[in-house]
Amino acid sequence: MDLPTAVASIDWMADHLQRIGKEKLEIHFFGGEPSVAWDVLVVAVHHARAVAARRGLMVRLQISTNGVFKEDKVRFIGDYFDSVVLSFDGTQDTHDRLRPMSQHEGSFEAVARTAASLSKSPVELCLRCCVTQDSVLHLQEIANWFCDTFQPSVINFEPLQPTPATFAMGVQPPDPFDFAINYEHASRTLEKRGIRPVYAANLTKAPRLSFCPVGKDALIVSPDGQISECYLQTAEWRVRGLNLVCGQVEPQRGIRLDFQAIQRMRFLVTEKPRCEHCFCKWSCAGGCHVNHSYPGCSESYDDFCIMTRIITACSLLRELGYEYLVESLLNDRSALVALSLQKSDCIEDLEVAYD
Amino acid sequence: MTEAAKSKRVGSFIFRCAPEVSWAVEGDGIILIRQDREGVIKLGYPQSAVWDLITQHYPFDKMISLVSAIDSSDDSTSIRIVAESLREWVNAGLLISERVYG
Repeated sequence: MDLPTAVASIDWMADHLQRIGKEKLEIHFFGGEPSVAWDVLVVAVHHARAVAARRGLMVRLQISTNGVFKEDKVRFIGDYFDSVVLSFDGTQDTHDRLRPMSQHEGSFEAVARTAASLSKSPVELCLRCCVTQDSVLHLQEIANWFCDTFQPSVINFEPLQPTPATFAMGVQPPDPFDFAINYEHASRTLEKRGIRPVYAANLTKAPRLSFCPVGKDALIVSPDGQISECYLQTAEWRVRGLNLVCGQVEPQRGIRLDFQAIQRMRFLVTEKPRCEHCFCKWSCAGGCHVNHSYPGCSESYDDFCIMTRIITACSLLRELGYEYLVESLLNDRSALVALSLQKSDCIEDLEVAYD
Repeated sequence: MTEAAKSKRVGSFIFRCAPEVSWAVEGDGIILIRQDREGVIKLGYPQSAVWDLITQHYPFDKMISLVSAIDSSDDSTSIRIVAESLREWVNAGLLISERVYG
């Protein structure tokens, strides 16, 4: 991204927020790896802070990063960012296997150094752990190790999204039942230690139309100035028949937005046949619009649905005060299978056996 | 090389933070704290960006182009902002300047 595109995007957003009476300017940097474009990052951070100060806006800066950079960059991030989502997949073997650097070295040591430095800063540290079939049985150990070694505020467990690269590396996504069971156990451990566990598709306090930026009026600016609502590469959603473009940054002229496209994206979840009869419809909202519930995908529940239905059911039971039922459920494989594969959760479709 | 000869060579300056100075990032700028004196110095924008770029060891030319983008100003304005900031901070003992040759 060039500097004028970054600056024009921030100027437009600050102006827009002020016009509609909002007080907070929120900017999330991600990629790829945003720290690769270090000058753009530095300019965007300072320009956003300067503009916010001039306009009386609060600024909140977040970055998703692999954490592989030198100490002076860690210091900048710790000083200026409110929240850091750091990709960290657990202990050295697991992490190095999933995230090799050039020369076949692992990135574990660099990331651990970054996590340790950020733990000493005021930043809200979220460790995002990609879970594979190899690591899924160790989530509780990983959670404890993270807590013992660093000072995260949030630990986010997400299953590996299989790609040709992960197949080539020989890593497999986790069994969905194993993921749900071990996520639940790790979550309880984290909560006892005062750390917030996150699984992106889990139950939220309020119903939602999307579990990601798509449909939430987020404006994601790509290096070429294209504005979309999805942080995946354009080719990935084009191949699914989706158009998630909603505008273009034109540094000399400003921002061009397609409000009809934004309106259309707000209601993507209503066009998902697979979600039609699922009780998670308004919490997971169909998961990834591109890789999971894209137009024309199978209507059967897949692994993501299975893990999400179990985890959401556990959250609902807790919310309702039935904590004791959660452990019973997690220990009863046939109940888990029945729950996760039930075709419809609509009351008129339920078959309840009365004794 | 004699001192006289040295003084005729074109050199460049490097700036670094004085050892008794520490700083903290605040919502709308930076505060500088001198451990040997009471009181703090508050920097708003664009000066706090200049301070950060110096501590990140950006070369002068690069700093100018980045300050221009941060401040939405032209290069001549940025040169003035950076030069005045450097002069003021060196005079106040917040920065140490060293001439380097080569």
